[in-house]
Amino acid sequence: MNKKELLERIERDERLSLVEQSELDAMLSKDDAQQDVARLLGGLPSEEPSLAWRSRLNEQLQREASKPLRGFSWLRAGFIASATACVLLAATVVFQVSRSGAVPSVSSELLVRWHEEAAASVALPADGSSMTTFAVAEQTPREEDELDDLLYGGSMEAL
Amino acid sequence: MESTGVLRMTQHEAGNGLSDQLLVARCQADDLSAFDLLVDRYQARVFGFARRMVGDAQEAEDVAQEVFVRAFRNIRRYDGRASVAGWLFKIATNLCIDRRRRRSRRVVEVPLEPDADIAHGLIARSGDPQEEAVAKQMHEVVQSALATLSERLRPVLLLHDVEGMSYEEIANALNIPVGTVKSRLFLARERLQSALSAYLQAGETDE
Repeated sequence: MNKKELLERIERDERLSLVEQSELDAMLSKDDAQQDVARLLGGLPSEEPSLAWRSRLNEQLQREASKPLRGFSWLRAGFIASATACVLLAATVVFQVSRSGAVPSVSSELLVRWHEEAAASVALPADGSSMTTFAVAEQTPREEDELDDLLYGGSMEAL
Repeated sequence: MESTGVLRMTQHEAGNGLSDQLLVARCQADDLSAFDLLVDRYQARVFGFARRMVGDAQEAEDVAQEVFVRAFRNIRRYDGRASVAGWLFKIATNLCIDRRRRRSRRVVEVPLEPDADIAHGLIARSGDPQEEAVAKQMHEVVQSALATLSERLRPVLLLHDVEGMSYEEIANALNIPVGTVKSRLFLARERLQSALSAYLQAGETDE
């Protein structure tokens, strides 16, 4: 196959056989016209960018280097924030439980008392005050403490 | 032709005695001075490549800046499978093609009128000031001829014949098979040769 035929086949994007590939290799390294162009390009003078260019590049690189996390992404930020929140939550729970010394549970006695109070609040008060007022009025400071203990991890032994 | 790029590399390596791989390892350990050495080593090649790819010197400077900034940002991702030169030229090629597409400007083909002096400069040059002026003109003519090549052909031609990269390195940098690199190189040289043939012939008859 001559050079012109090979060129036409390549221009048509046709697949080359092994023989044609070896012919192509030979032309790339030995053909005079091919080598003229290669020599011409290989002899082009190298071009240096200006000093101002280098100065600007150094400034840009300094800015890049001073960024807190190179390659920082919002995805990574979200992941770090979620992980931190999970760790803090777990630490809070562990701290609360260890401070109370026992896992809080609702005793039957307390449940009965709540039921009685609820039933009493539904009944119409004799003095004509509203039900809300009655229920609040009936709640003693002692009971508030007990509720706080139950809800916020206070000791159940006090009950 | 591969000797040109190899020679440049050897001179640079002899200059500071550190291999590219060692410099990259130091960059990955946040050593900015090591990256400075990499820039020193490759700035002329990257700028020259960009200059011949995009044609305009100012735009080539912007591209070269962007190449090194991106390389710096992604230095930790560099795994050493490709050469540092191949990696940088891959970034540069993509940036140049992106820019040209964004501009979507038609390539202006400069008419190539035969000129005996320039043609002589294409064949051989000396240190003569007049020859230097001819060489400068020659450079402009070659640049114009390069601009007529498609974006598929130009990077292959520049990476092989100007930068001295091997077929395998180019294939890796451009994500194309080695056989395609050879076909494109052959085609690119033929196209460039026909664009410059008037000069080459005039130069030979002048001699």
